[in-house]
Amino acid sequence: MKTLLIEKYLRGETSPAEEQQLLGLLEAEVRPTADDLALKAMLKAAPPTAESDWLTEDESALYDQLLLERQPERRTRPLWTRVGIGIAAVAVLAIGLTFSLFRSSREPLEAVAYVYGQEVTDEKEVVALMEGTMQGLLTAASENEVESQLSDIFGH
Amino acid sequence: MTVEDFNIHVPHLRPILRQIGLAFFHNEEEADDVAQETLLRLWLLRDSLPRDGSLQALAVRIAKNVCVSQWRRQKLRSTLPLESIGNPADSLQADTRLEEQEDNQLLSEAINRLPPSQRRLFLLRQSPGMDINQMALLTGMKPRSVSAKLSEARRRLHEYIKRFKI
Repeated sequence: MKTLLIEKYLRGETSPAEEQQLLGLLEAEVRPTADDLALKAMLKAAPPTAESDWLTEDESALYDQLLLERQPERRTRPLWTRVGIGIAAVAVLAIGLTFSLFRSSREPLEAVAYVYGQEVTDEKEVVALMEGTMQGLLTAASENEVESQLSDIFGH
Repeated sequence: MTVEDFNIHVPHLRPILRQIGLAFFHNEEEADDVAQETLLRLWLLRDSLPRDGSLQALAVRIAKNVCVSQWRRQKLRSTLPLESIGNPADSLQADTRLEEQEDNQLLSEAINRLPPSQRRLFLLRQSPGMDINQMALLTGMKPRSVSAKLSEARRRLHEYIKRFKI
């Protein structure tokens, strides 16, 4: 019985009543062993008691002061590292801009027109075709010609 | 304040007290210690606690006091050699018989060497009417975890006392 209670006590599973029972058994031992004495001391350990100043003590001011002092430091990079990163960023930006401007200035502008399904890339020829078309629109032979062409298209 | 009234307040107070500890120590374990120690003190003071709405204010003040006390203890540990630390637990009663006095002294030293959470649980368990479920409520731990930690504390104490008695 005593052994079972001891094992249960050391597992942290005894009830208050069982602990009282165990203490009674240990105190009844005529020749207590070192084990028995150790357990007896543990069972008889006094409970904690409230201290008189717990209700009145006030260390809030010191808490607030220490709280500020104990803020974790922000990790900052050294100045030379930050300057180096800035220079590198500017350099990359400058190289990128230069490259895109250089590339765009080298690329020629292309003029392309499609006439009756044929691709025409000669700039002068394209411009001439445009002018011819515009001229034709602006100098129609007669209103009737335009009127009759519209009738053909829309069937009125 | 009755035990029932006290138990109603505990779940509401614990996260507030824990946050006070976390803001101070930036450490989850120490924050839990602050909350547990504060609730233990409130438990021991329950007969004197205010019934009005100022319980939270009192709990916050006690939690800050606990933070400062633990900070002082840590500072002391860092400056004094380990052998010099070991004040007898104030709550331990002396007995007239010499052998029991020696056992109590050994127990006191052993208790002081326990990690704070184990020490708290071991001593709390000695309070009249304090069962595992009440301890679980006060500490915010599951009952099985309370039993496991209590078991660790008891085994350590048992071994320590036996070793130094021989």
